[in-house]
Amino acid sequence: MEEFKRFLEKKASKTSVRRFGQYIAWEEEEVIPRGPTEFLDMYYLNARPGEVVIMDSSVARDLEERLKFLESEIQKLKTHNDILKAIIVGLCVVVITLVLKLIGV
Amino acid sequence: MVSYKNEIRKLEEKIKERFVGNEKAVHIAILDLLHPRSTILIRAPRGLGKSTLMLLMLRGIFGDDFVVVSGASEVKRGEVVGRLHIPSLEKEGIEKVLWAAFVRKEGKGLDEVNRLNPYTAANIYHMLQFGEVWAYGQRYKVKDYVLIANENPYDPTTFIHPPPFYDRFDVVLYLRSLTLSEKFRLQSLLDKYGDSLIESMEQVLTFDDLCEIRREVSEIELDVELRGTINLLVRDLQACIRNRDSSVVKPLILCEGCHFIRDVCSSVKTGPSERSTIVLSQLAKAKVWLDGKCDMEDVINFGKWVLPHRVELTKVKVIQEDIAEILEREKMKMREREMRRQWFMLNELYKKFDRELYRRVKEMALEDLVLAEELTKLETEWVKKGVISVEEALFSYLK
Repeated sequence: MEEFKRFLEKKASKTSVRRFGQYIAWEEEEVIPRGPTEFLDMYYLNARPGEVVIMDSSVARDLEERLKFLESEIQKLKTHNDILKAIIVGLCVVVITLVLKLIGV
Repeated sequence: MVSYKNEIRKLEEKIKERFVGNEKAVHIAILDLLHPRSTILIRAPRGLGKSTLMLLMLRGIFGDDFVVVSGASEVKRGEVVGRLHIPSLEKEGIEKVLWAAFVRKEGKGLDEVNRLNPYTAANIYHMLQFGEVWAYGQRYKVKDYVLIANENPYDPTTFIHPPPFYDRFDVVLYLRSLTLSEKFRLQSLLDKYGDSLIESMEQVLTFDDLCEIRREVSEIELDVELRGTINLLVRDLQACIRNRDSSVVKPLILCEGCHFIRDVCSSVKTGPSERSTIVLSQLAKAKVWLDGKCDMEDVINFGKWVLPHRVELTKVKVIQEDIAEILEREKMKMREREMRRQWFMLNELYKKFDRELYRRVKEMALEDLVLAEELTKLETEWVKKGVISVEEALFSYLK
């Protein structure tokens, strides 16, 4: 732990900052943006994305179609989900009614 | 000290006079010799000079006084470790072991390691791991040595040795084929030396000289910043917020939905062992001793030789190139860390809690897993002291 603190201190001593009482100030260096990244490289090759990610029209179209397909799938599943919920509620009502009848309320 | 340095430089020079191309690999091999029990693995397809490089290095240090065991022959335990002395057993009923030259000699060569049968490989593994060998219930402590091995991993008769076996090799040198101009140089060399290229290699230093050099190198103290770079490089490749090491599911499936999916950690299936930290430090010390300096760039470049046989990547095309790409990303990441002043801010937080600094470091930690690990340690203490609440802590978010 002591060695790690020494490492941090050494790094800190090399960092240019100005202290004004309890305040610390520094000038942010301009970060040069990385060049544009091809979307497919980013997606399939795990390339680190730059500030700008580019894709050609066919990739964009493909992506759009996939999104539409996924949205329609979600919609379908949501409908299934709603039906199943209604069935569960209905079954609950039936079970409760049967239980009450059996008890003789 | 100067004369020792000159001897090492002369050794490198004499090897390069007889070995064409792959200059960087030769230099790394020279640096790796400068620490005790050095182990070098040379990997290349057939005919690229694996055995030649191994023999040139061994001859340069030991003259003719070294042993090479070939995995290609049916090598048995008796030839590698030791055999029973039959007359002692017959006459006196004593089990006396005759230790093999391979374990007794300081200069050891292993030709075609991939063809060693698993039983022999296990004996060698034990020697590399514990510095001793066992035969017939008796132990032999192995002294300091130089072990140079080679293999052609594309050889169809390859035995697949376990990863811990390869982890015992400090560096792996991948040799490339010669360029057109280099082929002309090789032809000239063969015309000059004929069949005695290896025999022409003179003994440049003695093993005692090398031991003294190793002692001097071990006394070198590395700068804390350089040690930090070594530790950061290894940690970046080891760290996984989803605890990859003990998870049954491996990346990339494990990485699905992970906050750090775009980080270097998602490219690594099995991270490097702590042995890589030791080897990187030893190489850095050797470079300081021989060249007078070693910087961050050098340390990261050492990764090209220290990491390929120690890490398993999620996608492999050409391992050396994949590792080189990861190391380039590491260089960029380390520069970004400097620019963001994250170590400075973490240092300030170690001294005293400051909410604004904490907020900034927390933001940075969302892009840097290693920083996140260190910050969460501090957060645990702050939560205990009531300085921050559990909900606002980074570890709550990253869970």
